[in-house]
Formats: sequence, C-alpha cells, structure tokens
Amino acid sequence: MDYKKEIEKVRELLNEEFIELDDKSRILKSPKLKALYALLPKVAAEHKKDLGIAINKLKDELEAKVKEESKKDSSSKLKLIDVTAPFDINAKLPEFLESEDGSIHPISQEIEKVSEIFNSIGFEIFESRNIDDAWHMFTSLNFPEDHPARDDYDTFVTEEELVAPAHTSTMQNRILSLRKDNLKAGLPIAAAVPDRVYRNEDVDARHEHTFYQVEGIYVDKDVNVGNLIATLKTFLSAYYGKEVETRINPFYFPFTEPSFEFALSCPFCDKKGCHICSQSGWIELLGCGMIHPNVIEMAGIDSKQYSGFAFGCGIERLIMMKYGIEDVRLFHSAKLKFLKQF
Amino acid sequence: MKYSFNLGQQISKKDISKILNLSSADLAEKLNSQIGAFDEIINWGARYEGIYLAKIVKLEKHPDADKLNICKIDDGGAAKKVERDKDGLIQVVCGAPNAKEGIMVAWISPGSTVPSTYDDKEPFVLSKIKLRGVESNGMLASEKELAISEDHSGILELTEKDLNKKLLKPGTLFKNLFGLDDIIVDFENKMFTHRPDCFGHIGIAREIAGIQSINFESPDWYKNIDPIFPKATSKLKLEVENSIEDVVPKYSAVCIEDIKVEPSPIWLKATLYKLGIRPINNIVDITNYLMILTGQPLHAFDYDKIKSGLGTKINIRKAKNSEKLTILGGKEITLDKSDIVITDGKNPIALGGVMGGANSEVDNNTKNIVIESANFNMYAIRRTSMRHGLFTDAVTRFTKSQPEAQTKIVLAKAIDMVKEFLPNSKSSEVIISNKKEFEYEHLNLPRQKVNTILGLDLSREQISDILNLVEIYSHEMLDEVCVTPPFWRTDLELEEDIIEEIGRLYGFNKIDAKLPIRRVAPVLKDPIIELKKAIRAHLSKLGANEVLTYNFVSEKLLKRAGQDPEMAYKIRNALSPELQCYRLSLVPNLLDKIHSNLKSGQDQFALFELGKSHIKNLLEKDTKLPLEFQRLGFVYANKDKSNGATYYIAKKYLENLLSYLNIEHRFITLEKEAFESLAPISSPFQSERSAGLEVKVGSKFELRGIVGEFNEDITKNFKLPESSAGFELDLVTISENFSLDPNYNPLIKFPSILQDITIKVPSKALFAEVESELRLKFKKHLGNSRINFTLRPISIFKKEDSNNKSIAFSIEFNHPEKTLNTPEVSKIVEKVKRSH
Repeated sequence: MDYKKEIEKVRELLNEEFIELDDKSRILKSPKLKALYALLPKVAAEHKKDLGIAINKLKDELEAKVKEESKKDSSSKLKLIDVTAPFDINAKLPEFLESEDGSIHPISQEIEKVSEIFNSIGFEIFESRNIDDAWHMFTSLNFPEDHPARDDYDTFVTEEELVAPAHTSTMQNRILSLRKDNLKAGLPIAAAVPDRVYRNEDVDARHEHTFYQVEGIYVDKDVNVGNLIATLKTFLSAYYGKEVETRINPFYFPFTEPSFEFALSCPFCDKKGCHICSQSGWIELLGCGMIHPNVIEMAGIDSKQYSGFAFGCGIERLIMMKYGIEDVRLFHSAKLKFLKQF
Repeated sequence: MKYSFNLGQQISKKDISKILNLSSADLAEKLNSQIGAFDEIINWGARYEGIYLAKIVKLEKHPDADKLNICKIDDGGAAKKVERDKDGLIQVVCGAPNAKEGIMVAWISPGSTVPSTYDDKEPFVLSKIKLRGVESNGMLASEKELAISEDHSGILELTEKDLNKKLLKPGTLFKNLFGLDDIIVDFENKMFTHRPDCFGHIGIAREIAGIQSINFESPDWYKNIDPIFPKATSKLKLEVENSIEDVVPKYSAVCIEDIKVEPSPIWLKATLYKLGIRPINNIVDITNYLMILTGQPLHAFDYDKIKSGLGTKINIRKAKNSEKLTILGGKEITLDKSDIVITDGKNPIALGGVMGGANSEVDNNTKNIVIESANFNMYAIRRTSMRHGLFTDAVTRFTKSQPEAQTKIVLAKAIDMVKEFLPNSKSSEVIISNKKEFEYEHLNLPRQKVNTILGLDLSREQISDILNLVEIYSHEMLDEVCVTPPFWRTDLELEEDIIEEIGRLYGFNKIDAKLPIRRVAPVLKDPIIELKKAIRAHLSKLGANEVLTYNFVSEKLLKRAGQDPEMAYKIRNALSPELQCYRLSLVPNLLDKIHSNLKSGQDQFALFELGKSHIKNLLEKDTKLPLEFQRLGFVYANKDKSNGATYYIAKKYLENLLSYLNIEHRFITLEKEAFESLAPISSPFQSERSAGLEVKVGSKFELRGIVGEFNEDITKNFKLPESSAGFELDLVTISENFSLDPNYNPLIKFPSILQDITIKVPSKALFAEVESELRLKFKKHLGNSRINFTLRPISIFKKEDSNNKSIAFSIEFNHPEKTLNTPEVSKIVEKVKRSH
C-alpha cells in the first residue's frame, strides 16, 4: 500500500469537505482523517514513523486552515447569510412592528396638508434644494453682490462658495424660467415650495439652524396687492378651517416691491387675545410682496406685461402654535416619545 | 434706528406730534402698518419720575467719613412724603467732590428709581437710609446716574448756561428739561435697508408727518443742495486729492482753527445718550448729532496730527496690501487693497467710511480740526466692514447708499454748529473733491399702473397729493403723474418703488382683497413628491417612524459610520464642528438616533427618513450644481436578539414597500466590488450580511440600494443593540417607475388545493435560485393545463452539522374553470419532487 498516495487522496477529499463546511473546525473531526490514523497499526514498521509524520503534517495543515478561517470569522463574526431568502434558517418569519406605533413626522404631515390646499387652488408643488449657489439665493432675487440685505440672511457657505439656502425663494428664478411658457398659453405661473432652509443661528427653544418654509409665487397679467392678500387669506382660512382676518405692514425685502409683513387674526382665540398671540389678537405670520420687476426680468419674463406676488411662511411655527409645542429643537431630535404623538 | 419724537418735532415746521395722542396700541399699529416694524416704543421720560432740581443750601462735612458731605437741599417743596427740617430743607448725604453750597443739582427723591438702572433687571429704587450713621433722603445724581452721559466724576451741576432762568429753580421736574420726556421708537434697521433717509431723524419725521397726512417740510438748511459756506477766516491750509472717485464719489472737508475741546452742552449729551450714542466731546458730539439728524456720517481729525510741512494734504486711496492702521479704540488692523483709506498724504489716518484712526483722533488738547463729510460706495464699505468685523454707525448708514448731494449740506451745518458752540473758531475754505452736481430726474408714472399693482382706483390728484406729503415732488400731467424724487431718496428708481410709497401712505390695509382670476388647468404633480408621500404612508402603517435629521453632520460621525469625510461638502462658517459636513447618506444619521431612543425606554422600533445627500464634486450635468441624491434611509433596532438574522426584518420592510409601489426588483449577494461601488451608502453595512437591491429599469436590473446588517465597528461606534439592520436606496429610478395601482387578479370561483413540498438543497444554495427553479419546474409540469399556482415559503430547516438544508413551500393550486381534485395535483407535485 502506498500510504503517500492514500494521504494525497484524503488531503484532497478533506479540502473539498472543508469548503463545504459551515463550521470549519469540524474538519478536524472528519471520519476521513480518523481513518488515516486507523492505518497506522496496519503499515509496516519501517514506514510507521514516516506515515505518522505525514498524517500529523496533514493535521497541522488543517489546523492552520481552521485557525485562519476563524480569524477571518472573528473579523466578521457573523456568518454569511442567504440574502435572497425571506427568512433565516431555522427561524420564524420576521414580523412587522405594530401599526399603531408608526408615525409620520409632524412637519411632513403639515407640508402635505399645506400642499394639498395649494394644489386645490391651482398651485403646483416644487421641492427646493439643500445646496445652491449664491446666484439663485441672492443675485437672481435682486440682491446685488455685496448688498447689505444679504446680511439679514445668516447663510451657511461651503468651502466651494456654495450656500445652504436660507429661504425657499432660492427656487423662484428656476420656477419662473421653467414655467414661463404658461404665460404665453394664457395661464398663470402658480407654485408653492415647501421645503427645508438653513440659517446660521444659535439654536435655542425658538431658533433652529434647519427649519422649513413654504414659498408661494404667482405671476400673471394684472396681478395686484389685493390678489396677494386674498390668496393668503383663502389659504389660511382653509388651513385653519375658519374665516380669518388679515393685516399687512410694510416691510423690506429686495425681491419684492412693495414688501409686507403679513398678520392674521388669531385663529385660536378669534382675536380675543390669548397666550399664542401674546394677547394681541394678531399673529405675525409671514413675509410677502409683489415680485420685484428685476426678479421677473431675470427669469426672462417681460415685467411690463406680467406682474406677480410671492410669499414665504415658516412651517414649524404653524405646527407649534397649533399643538402648543414648546421647543423647536424637538422636530429634528428624532425622539420617538415626541414623534409617536403625531 | 432709534427715533426720538422730541427731536423729530424740533426739526419739523409743523406739529407732527399729534400722533402721540393715540393709545399705545393704536400708535404701534399705525407705525407698524405705515412705516415699518420696530422693536419697541420706549417711554424715556418714565425713568425720571420723582427727580427734581434742587439747590444745595447748606453743606457740612460728615462727622465719620472724610469723603462724604451732609447737604441740606431745597426742592422748592416739590417732593411729597419726605422728611424735612424746620426750614423745609431735606438732608442728603453726598460724596461728590464738586458738591458745594449754592449750586443747582438734580435730586432723586426717596422711592424713585435711579434712571441709569431703569432698564436693569433690578432697578435701583432709593429709600431713606443711613450713611455712616447719618440719615440721607434720596441722592444727588451724576450725569451717568441720570442717563444723560457716562460722566460719573461728580454730580450734575446746572447753570444758566444750560437752562433759562424760568426753569433753573428748585422743584422743576427734571424730565421736563432737555427733551427728556420723550417717546423713542426703535425701528428695525432691516426695515430701512433701502431707505438711507430713514437713518436720520429728518427722514423718519417726514414719514411720521406723511402718515398723518401732514405735508412735511424739511428744514431749510437741509433742502438747499447748494449751501452757502461761511467766508474763510482761517489760514489753515488743506488739500484733498481723491484718486478713487469710483468708490468715493464725493469728498468734502474743512479746517476749523482755534477750537476748544470740552464737554457738550447737557441738551446735546442727553439727546445722544437716549438714542444710544455715547457723548464724547463737543466736536465728536456735533458730528454724531448731525448724523442722527440727516443720516450723513461725519468725521473729525486733529489737524495738527495730520499736518505735514505747512499744511495738510488729504489723499484718498485704496490701501496697500498688508498696510497697517490702528483704529479708534486701539486695535491694529491689517488692510488690503480693497479697503478705502484716508491718508495724510503718506499714512492712513482713517478707514474710509468705517472708522477713524487713533493717530488723528481729536483729544482734549486738540486746537485745530478737519471735518470730513464724504460719500462712499455702499458695496465697498460693506466688504471692508465684513472683512474687519467693524460694524459702526457710519457703516450702518453708508451701506444704505447715502445721497452724494447731502455731503456738502451737512458739512455746512457742521461748520455752523461748531461756530455756534465756539464763537472764536475760524473756518477755512471748503474743499470739495468732485464738483459734479446733483441733477434731479423725473419719472412719469402712469396712473393705470399704480392702480393695477395696488388694486385701487386712485385719481392723479390723489396720487400726487400722497407723494407730496413726503416731499416726493409730484404734479399731474395728462394721464400720468410726473414725479421728481428728492435727492435724499436714492432708493426711488423704478415706477414700482414709487408705487410702494403710494400704497404705504394710502394704507395697504385699505386695499380690497380679491382672488386672482385664473384659467383652470390641472395642477402637475412631481413624481418624487408623490413617491415620498406614498412611502411615508406605507412605512408608518408598518409601524415605522419617520424622522427628520440635519443635513449637517460632524466629521466624527462620518468616520464612525465608516465614511470618508473628504467626500463631503464642508460648511466654512459652521456653527460648530458637529455641523460641519453635508451628510453623505441618511443611514448614519439614523444610526445616531438609535441609542438615545433605546435609553429612553423604546425597546424595538424602526426609523426612516426621506431626504437628500450630496457627494463632493458629483455635479448635475447642465447646471454644474451639486447633484442632490434623493434617498430613503431606514433602520430597525431591537434590544433583544431577533429570531434569526435581523437582516431579514429590514429586508421584509423593503420588500413589502417595493411590492406596494409595484417596483420589480431583486436582492443580490454583493461581491466586494459591487459593495464598494455603493460607498458611501454601503460603508456602514457588513458586506457578508447585506444584499444589493436591484430595480428593474426597462429590461435590465440596476443596483439602487443596499439592505443589511451593520458591521461590528459600526455596532460598537453607535452603541447599537443586539439586533439592528437597515437599508438605504436611491429614489429617483423608483419615482420614475412606481405605481400605486393594486395588481388585481379576478377572483376564482373554484376552490383551490393546498399542498406542501420540501426540497433538500446544499446549504450554500441560494433561496432565490431554488425558488425560481421550482417555479420553472411547476410551470413545465403544468404545461397547458391552465392550472395556476402560488408558491409560499414556509420554513428553511437545517440540522446543525448538516451541509444541506430543507426548504418547505406551501403551494396553492387552482383552475379558472373547474374544481381540481387532490390526486391530480399530488401527481404533479410528485413529479416535481422526483425531478429534483
């Protein structure tokens, strides 16, 4: 009997088995290996020593392999799994969490609600950007380079001089350009942009560096201040489910002329005065105005023929007033105790 | 911008103070709705209750204190409830070095507040006290305590220089002096970003008149754009060379000889102080006073400090790079060539339009001065101000584009004032660097346009009447109104600018609100928005919670998630290192929120976020702006060990969502290369226990996401619980292909038959392959029988040391037109079994 050949044969078989094994250490207990030891008493005395050395060498080899494999294993202690299976070996079908534990973020809910109202009065909904250039954020909105009005927007700037938009108005030029054919077709441009904006502000219970706004723009022939007021009033009455009164105060924004700060009669106390409106009966809600002709022109629209209005409203404030939420930081806290209440 | 009603009234020819008869709520409403937002209305006079003029009649040393005196004062009997001696005098202990018999002082009676502490959290209210054993009733006050200057060197002593005889007597209420009984409105500066004139009292007074329908008339000295300067009596020599007229369009200056630097009169100090400006000395105070009247900043130099040779030569130029200047206050700044400097011909003596230099400062020994009245380009000033972090009153005003025409006018007034204060002073000839005169421009405003934009029906006459209220000169002309903006309204360029004024002065709230008339067209919907809505609704129904996290993360978080911060856009002016990088994917933020929720008692939950992430230098083709990846991130966490690998829970969520969206997809084992191609999304995941998500696009499957468990480092770094897994995917492809229409199958009338089949395969065999092979076999064996079948996996079983596993399926058979019988079905199942 050629024990050398026999060992070679077993080595091959063991190698094959090794690849197949889930638990690599089991190779050392393989019957094939045991069978080799069983040969020892049977071989001639002069070969015994050599055979013994050969078997041990094979065993050492296997041990080294197991060791190496276990090293590999501990670097990724978990085993390979069949990713195409619907569940694990010897395991039950995984289950979903309880439906009643699920929740939609209050800001998303509010955005969906606001979007629905704007949809219903003919406004198309757009998303804004999370990174933009200063041209859209400022220049296209009639803030010349180095204009001091830029200081009122504490804007985050990247190393590449890109900006984290400080208002959803950063979308005005894009939307006006994209939809200017509406005007030729005799249709207005009507759009709302509810999305995330950023301000370089110290954070406290009332200030966040990341928050949400909804922008509205409307351009057509002969649009006037009265249309702006009526549109906002319609929106807010639908939003609060009751008729509200409105009031505008002059303000300054470079991208509207005239510019206003818009207040509504407090829907929580019907102007009687409560803690939400600081007993004034009025809530200062948003900024708005007639779109500056320069902004309209920059989108390639003739400002002699067309005019329009724009407005921007914070979303968190709407929610905080409605539910009495005490701290704006909760919105981005991902605290389930907070989120599950909505 | 603080506006004093008293000062406003002082410069107005007509009574514009009637508005103060309104209730405070109505006044606030009126100012708000027709001028603009303000921070507060301050009743300045309120802090002077219980303060009277009093005469020190007798003064004795305090027996137990070297520095204290016991004063007997006469308040003319004005104060009630105060202890008096038999002569009706009041005893007050006073430590001021200048207290002496016979002088007139301001006395704060017991029970009254020290005015300088009036706005403090705990105002200092005086009571009768004993000072070193001697009774003292109230106190004799310094200018500082009276909130009229910072001077605390002694008590305020009033003389005939300060007041006329009628008022200079014991018992006069202090608040009735020096215009202290005042109402101050603190308008928000940003309201007036476009209104240079409203950074001066004349400008706001004009608006106060206008909103009361009073025709305002500016002071005569202010209206005349060609002021007459006094004849030069000084021989001081001054030359001005302006080599940068593009950014310093106007520079005028004058020398004044033989001046005396001293404290300003009380009225001036009090006026500046209540408007938030610290009184310094008569010269500086005059420049500041004229600034708060007109909005034109002035600057005074010490003539002798900038003299070289026989005279002074002012040279206006751009600074040289790394040139240095020590500004007022002592800080040294390093200039560069975008800064405007005023020099003495050689060295900078002021940072033009921003701040004076320490080397030319007017001090108590100054004998001769140069007063500068200049105009600077607003953009240049803003750049310099931002770069050096210098935000002075001058910067506030110059960055609003002050009118050029005003420089001469205000300089002329400054000369007048210095001469009035110091009658022995002599002024030189006035030097004006650019003689170009202001020219009025006219604008024809169509009545129709006014009414179209405002939604009103104003006549030409109404329009011009309104504009004339605030000196925007207007007259009717055919169907237009010819408008001539005054020199101080540099903001009035377009028709819209003037229409805004008309609307504001008319009252925007009187405008009728009417909805726009629009043609009806269906609203287009953005598929990505609709998709997000669907995902939100579905995942929350499956018990998951939507969260919103910041776009901004720390480098540390990226590293902890196995991502490379070099790939992230970085914020240059981040609030903190915590918020410095734009996130590279959503899952790391979600991982970061797991531990805190577990700690607060949530044992098992799933978080998801719909949001955007960015990777540096990946740009949109057409706009060259950063690509915004639309992502869905999801993590599941359970503090207990889950049944089998947690991977399968995350996968189940994803699979269920994708079927709801009708997205054809498959999960594939990720080879190293594919796994790495998904970085940075894949970085937190463990390759051996994650699958790639492939979504069918056209006829091909494309890799669009990853689902799996997290690698060990991540588990440690984020303190993840026993079981956690998640997924992240790109939403754009899905948004282009999803549908919420259910896949309806007609109901089958005939009963179906259920059978089980168990298949033994090597443990390495992929379930998906086994299943699809099985499916094919059934299809083959069913042939044209029209029998339908549905496969459902039931279990995957494997003995611990076996190299095989058994997969059990339940199969439902039915036929659209007949009832199947069991043997018929069993036969097919047997065949399939055998063929395996």
